[in-house]
Parts: sequence; structure tokens; C-alpha cells
Amino acid sequence: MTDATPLLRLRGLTKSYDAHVALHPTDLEVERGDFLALLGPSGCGKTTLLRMIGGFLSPDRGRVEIDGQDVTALGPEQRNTNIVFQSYGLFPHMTVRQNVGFGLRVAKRGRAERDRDTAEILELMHLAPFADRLPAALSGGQQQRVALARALVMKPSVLLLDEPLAALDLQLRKAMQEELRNLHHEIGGTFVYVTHDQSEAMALANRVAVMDQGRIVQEQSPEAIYRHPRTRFVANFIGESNLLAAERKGDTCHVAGTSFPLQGPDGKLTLMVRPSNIRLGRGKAGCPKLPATIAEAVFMGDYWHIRLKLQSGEDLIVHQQQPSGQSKAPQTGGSTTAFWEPADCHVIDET
Amino acid sequence: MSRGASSSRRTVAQIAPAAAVLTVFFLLPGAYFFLVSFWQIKRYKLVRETTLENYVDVVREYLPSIGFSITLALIIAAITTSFAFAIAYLIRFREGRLGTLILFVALTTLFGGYLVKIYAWKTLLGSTGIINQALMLIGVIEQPLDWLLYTPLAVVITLVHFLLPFAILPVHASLRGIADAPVDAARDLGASRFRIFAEVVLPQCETGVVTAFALTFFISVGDYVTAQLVGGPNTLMVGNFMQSQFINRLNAPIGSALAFSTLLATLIVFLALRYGFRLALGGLRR
Repeated sequence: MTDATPLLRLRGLTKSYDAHVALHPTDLEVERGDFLALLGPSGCGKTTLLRMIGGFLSPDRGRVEIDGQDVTALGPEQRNTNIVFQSYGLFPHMTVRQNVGFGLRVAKRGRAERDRDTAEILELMHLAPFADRLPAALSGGQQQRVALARALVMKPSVLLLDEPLAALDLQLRKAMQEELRNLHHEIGGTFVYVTHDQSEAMALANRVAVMDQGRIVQEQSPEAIYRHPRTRFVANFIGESNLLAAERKGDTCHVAGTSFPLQGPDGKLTLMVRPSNIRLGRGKAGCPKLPATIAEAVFMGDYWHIRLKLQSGEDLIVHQQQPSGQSKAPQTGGSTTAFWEPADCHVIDET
Repeated sequence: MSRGASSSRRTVAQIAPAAAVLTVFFLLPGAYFFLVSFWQIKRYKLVRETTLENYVDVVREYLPSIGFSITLALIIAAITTSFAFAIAYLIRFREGRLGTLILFVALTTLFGGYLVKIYAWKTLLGSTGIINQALMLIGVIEQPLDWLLYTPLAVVITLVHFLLPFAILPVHASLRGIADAPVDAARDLGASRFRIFAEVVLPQCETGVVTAFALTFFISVGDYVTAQLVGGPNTLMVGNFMQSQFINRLNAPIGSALAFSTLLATLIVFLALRYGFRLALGGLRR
């Protein structure tokens, strides 16, 4: 076995329920130390995929390899993976300490080792003061940390997390995100994290696999996915975006009453521009300029959310940062010109 | 404050009917027979002289029969609760939609009356019954088995069958309260099926199991009709003696003393068992 073997490798993993295909043949490789987010709307197959990695579901076809070993036929009790459920799955009749020590006891570790490992992880997760409480006496965030501690204490080769923060309120979720990020830095390890929240995926993962209707449609770093979404779905799901119908002829792109040079074959295409990359004003040399009227402007605190009407009738969303000290509201109904740097627009190939 | 007063008044109003029925038909007669158990019959008349003699008689004459009844009831309760648990476990964890059907079938057997079931077993277990006839037909035996009917075994079979649906209900209710995630988590942490059963499932449905056991145990200790009809002349439950004291010998004091002695012994055995069960469950977790 060489070092080039990825820690987790999925090959042609497939799952159907009667006529419904939950997962089309899927390949995925996760390297040691990766924090991979499986991101997608509900029903996209991300949890199905996670449960197959954990051994809770067996695939119709395909293989799951961990550390170069085929574990497809093994149940969760035989795999070196551990999972954190959205509903935590704590044992309600056991104290925090007993919950965390359960796996070690099952693995027949010695008493001293068990006590030491349990105490260590409780300390790391700031749970030591609650060690002898029952889960029902803890807050949601504390219960979440117990579930994490119970999985981490087993030192799994892959830690699986199934929307672990979904049940928490926004503020707690942000705090837990930071804690998770720090935890991953501190103890290393390989995390596979299921979420439907794109900002959570961006905040946590070094790689994101966007899923749609039982397929991984794009799998890259968060930045690459944000900048170069491969499909309309990804462009819409990751951040806000403007998708404009355009046509290319002779290396010139025609869009909403203007044109600019764009290399490539002739044909129809979709242009994507992020609202934060569009500027309003008189325009700039070398930038595509689109005349428009301001249809709506909403103050969002950090920026103005402005909806423009283009000459083609399409909407264009612009997020305009306020220069410091200036607080002039954009005039609804006024004319303006929208423009962007050529590098900031991205061509989505429709197939 | 006024809301507290009115809500407590409402509580009183809500429990009053049940409390009245219980008091008139259970507590008062019970208290009366408790008093009677210290009195005596002399020349066919009830004499109100407080004495412990009835209890001395009970200990001297009926202790073995109390012991026998409790032992038989323990066997019946253990078998019934285990079966009920197995069925409820199937319904909750294995069978999915079929589980609902199993539960429905189990509950429909409640429509068959108590006596109907006893007579059914009498027919099934008899020397010309279907079990003996079938065994003879396929050549397993030549003579009908005479230990099927009119033995303690027949009492056990009949009562287990009769009590099963009553035991399934509380176990099923408590199993339904167990979420999937802790069970999955236990598997994920490497636990075997048995360990999941003993350390994750069982402790969470302790109430249901204890209720099912208590129900079947108490009913079995007190039952005497089954023993009379399928137990034969040598299987006498303590209830049969109570009945004969009250009805044949017209000796309510001894009958009452026997009843309260049995009640006390049954409670002691039950509480000891429950304590042991708790201890065992807690011990597993350490």
C-alpha cells in the first residue's frame, strides 16, 4: 500500500428504493486529514451516502474502501468509522461519562485506559463539569458535544457527521462551527460532514461535494466551487448568483443589450456573475457594461441588495457595499449602468 | 393563587368518581376483610375477638400452597413477559409495517373470552385432543401423553396464552418510546446485538417490562379457575383454598388471613425481583 491510497474511497456506489434512485453510481475519494462536506438540499442523497460509509446501509452496487481495505460487507460495528447523528442518539439512561465510555468498554479496553481517555476527551470538549449528569439535564449544545466526544474518543479513521448542528439555534451553531474547526485543527483526523447549509459547508470544510438528485455534481475546494460552479444548480445553491442567457458568435459574447469579447466556440450559454462582483456607475474600460434601471433597493446592513431591470427584461441582483461615511440610498426607478471585471463572470456550460 | 386553587379543585373533581368507586368496592371491603382476618368463627358465628390464630393456621397449613402458587405464577410471568418482549421487539425493530399487523392480531385474541380459552386448551391438550392425535398419527407416540392435561403444565400453557396480549401492550408501548438513533449509535460504537439489547434497549423499557411482569404475576397468583378446569385434582392454587374457605367451609376469617398472607408474600417476592432487576441493569453499565 502506498501513501497515494486515499483514506476513504467510494467506487460506483449505488442505491435505489423501488423505482426511486437515491444514489446514482458515485465515486469519491477522501484524503487523510480532509474535512469534506457533503452539501445539498434534502433528498439529494447526502445522508444515504453517509450512512453507506458508516455501514448502516448496504449499497446495491459498488465498494467502500477504508485505508485500502474493502469494507462494503461490514456493518457499522466492524468499521473504524464513528458517526454523530443530528438527533445526537445519546443513551438517555447513562450519564455523560457512561455515554462517552460506552465504546471503549465495548472494545474491552482496560479500566485505567478507559478512565483516562474518557477524562481527556471530556476535558477537551469542556464537558468535565457535566460528567455525571444524564443527557436530559444538558442543553442542546452540550448534548451535541457529548455525541461528538463519544465518537471522537474511539479515534475513528473517519468521523461521520450527519447535520450535527441542524437542531441548534443560529448563535450556538456559529459557536459550534468554530469549535469543530478548532477541533479538526487540534486533533487532526478525517471528517465527512453532511449539511444542507452552504455557509456551514464553506465555513468548515476544505473540500465540498455538492449533491443534487442522487449525484455529486461538483467536488472541489469551497473557493473553486464558489468561483466556478459547474452547473446552474451549483451556482444557485452556493451563494447568490445572477444567471444570464447569452450567445457567443465569433469570440464575442452577446448579453442583455451589450457585447464583449469572450473566447470559445459559438452557441448559446449561461453567464454567471456574483451580486458582489457587479458595480454600478459609469463603467470602466474593458468591462462589459449593461444599462439598467433600479427596480428595488433593500438595505441589508453590510450592503445594499439592489434588483436591477435589464433591457432584456431579466433581473440582475447587485450587492453594493457602502463606502464608509456615505449613506446615500440608491434611487428606485433611476437609470444606471452595471459592469463587472471580465474575470468575474463565469461561463456555465449547459449540456 | 386563585388559579392554583381552581386547578386543584378541578383535579379533585376529576379523580372523585374513580376514587369513589375504588373506595366503595375495593378499599372498604378490603379493610373489612382485613379486620375479619383477625376474628374467628365459633359455632358457625363470627366472633369479633382479635387474634393472630388465623395467621398461625395459614403459616402451618397453607405455606406450601402459597409457595407453589407463587412459584407457578413466577414461571408463568417469566414466560409470558419473555414472549411478550420478543413479539414487541419484532414489532418495533424488525418487521416494519408487518409489525402493526402482528400487534393487531395479538390484540384480537383479547376478544376470545377467558373461559373460552381455558376450554379450548382443555380440548387441545386432552387425550383425544388435536396434539395427541397428531403426534400419534405421525407415529411419534403410541399412547396419548397423559401429562399434557390436568397437570401444572396445562395451567402454565393456558395462562401464558391468556395473559400474552396484556403483557405485549405495556412492553410495546415502552419499546415505541425508544428512538432509532441511540440503537444505531450503539452499533456504531461496536456493540453486539446482545449488548444493545441488554444495555441500551432493556434499560429504556424497564417500566414496560416491569409492568408486564407485575400484571401477569399478580393475575396468575390470584387465578384459581384455570387450575380448577385444566389443572387436575393435584394442581391446587392458593386461590382454590381461599375459595373453599369462603364458600365450602364458610370460614371467612381463615380465607381472609390466607388472602392477606398471599398478598404480602407476593409483594415481597415482586419487590425483591424488581430490586434485583434494577441492580443487574445498573451493574451492566459500570
